[in-house]
Amino acid sequence: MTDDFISALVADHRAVRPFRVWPGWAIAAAGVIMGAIACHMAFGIRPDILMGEPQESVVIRTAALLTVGLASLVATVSLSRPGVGKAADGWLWVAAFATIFPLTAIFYFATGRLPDYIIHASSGIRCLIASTLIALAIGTGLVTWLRRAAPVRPRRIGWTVGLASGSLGTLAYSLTCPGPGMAYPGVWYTGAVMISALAWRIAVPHLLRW
Amino acid sequence: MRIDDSSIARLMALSQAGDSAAHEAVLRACRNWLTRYFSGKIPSDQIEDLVQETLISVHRKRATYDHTRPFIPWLAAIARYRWIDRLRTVYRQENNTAEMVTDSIDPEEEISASISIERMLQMIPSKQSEAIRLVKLRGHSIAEAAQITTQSESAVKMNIFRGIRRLSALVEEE
Repeated sequence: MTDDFISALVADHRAVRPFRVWPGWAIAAAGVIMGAIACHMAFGIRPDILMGEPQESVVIRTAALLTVGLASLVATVSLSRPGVGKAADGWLWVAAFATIFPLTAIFYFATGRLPDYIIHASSGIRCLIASTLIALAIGTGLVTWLRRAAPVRPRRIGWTVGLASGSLGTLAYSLTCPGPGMAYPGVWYTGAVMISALAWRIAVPHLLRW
Repeated sequence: MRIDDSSIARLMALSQAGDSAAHEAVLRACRNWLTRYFSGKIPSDQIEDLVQETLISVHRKRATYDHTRPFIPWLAAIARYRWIDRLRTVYRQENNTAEMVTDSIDPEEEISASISIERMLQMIPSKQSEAIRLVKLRGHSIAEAAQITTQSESAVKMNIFRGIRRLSALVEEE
């Protein structure tokens, strides 16, 4: 029985172009660059960044978003092909470290020191929408590329696609974001990254089923 | 034919380039390996089906194999993925109560299959494993299982659902 089955598969056989991982990196890089350009045209880059003298908090949040984004992208690329015993858990540690931002916001809120303007800032909603839209574009690009792949851990790759696109989308927007300090990104950036992570975690296993 | 990793990696490279004879050799070697891999994991009468499903996946996703890397981990990951998918399918087939245990052809194989399932069941909460054992392994109805365990029918269903989900996660992590 299986002999006939194998013969049928062989009859369908033809040369294939090996699956490459570089398009994943290219899609993410293009998404960040195009997202940043779009945000610059809409809102303008922060003056301190333009002058080459960014505030300390801006440097820290940019580094955190970039690190979470890259670590999640590395994990996504690793998870795109089947393999057992792959160590691709670095993104979890990096994401755990980045919780310093929401934890700061929670601490300030719990101690009554969270400034009202952080919650009511009009830039907050703008931040959430712009970051999420860029994340949606990056995530869509990644999922389109991954449809040629063979991910065998669909839930995990859902998280990594969501975190990568959320962090990198927020990074692109953050270059124009007027929000100060640690608590502001702890509220609004965390919101954008979490929306993206949860949405892709739910959608990816259905979209990449094979 | 047993799989020698470096030889089959070379054959896969040829297969990707369009060599049908190499592709056939790869699939035959995979079939033998997969048959051994699945025996002890599922009932013996379901092995051929699962082997064929996995061979289709190997055929369809052959472009994702990187021939500079070992072949067996690639094949094993695909086999595990298909196995998990089978577990989920078994759960969805609500009225098929004897899905996991069938009349055995080879008693030794059947025993090792049930040992493997038992080992997994010990890793989940007892209420969930009891519900799965009664309904999915011993063929009781939901109502009977509810009576035996003194749980409500909806609790039994929920415990089966959660238990299967946990088992899938455990297999995925293994």
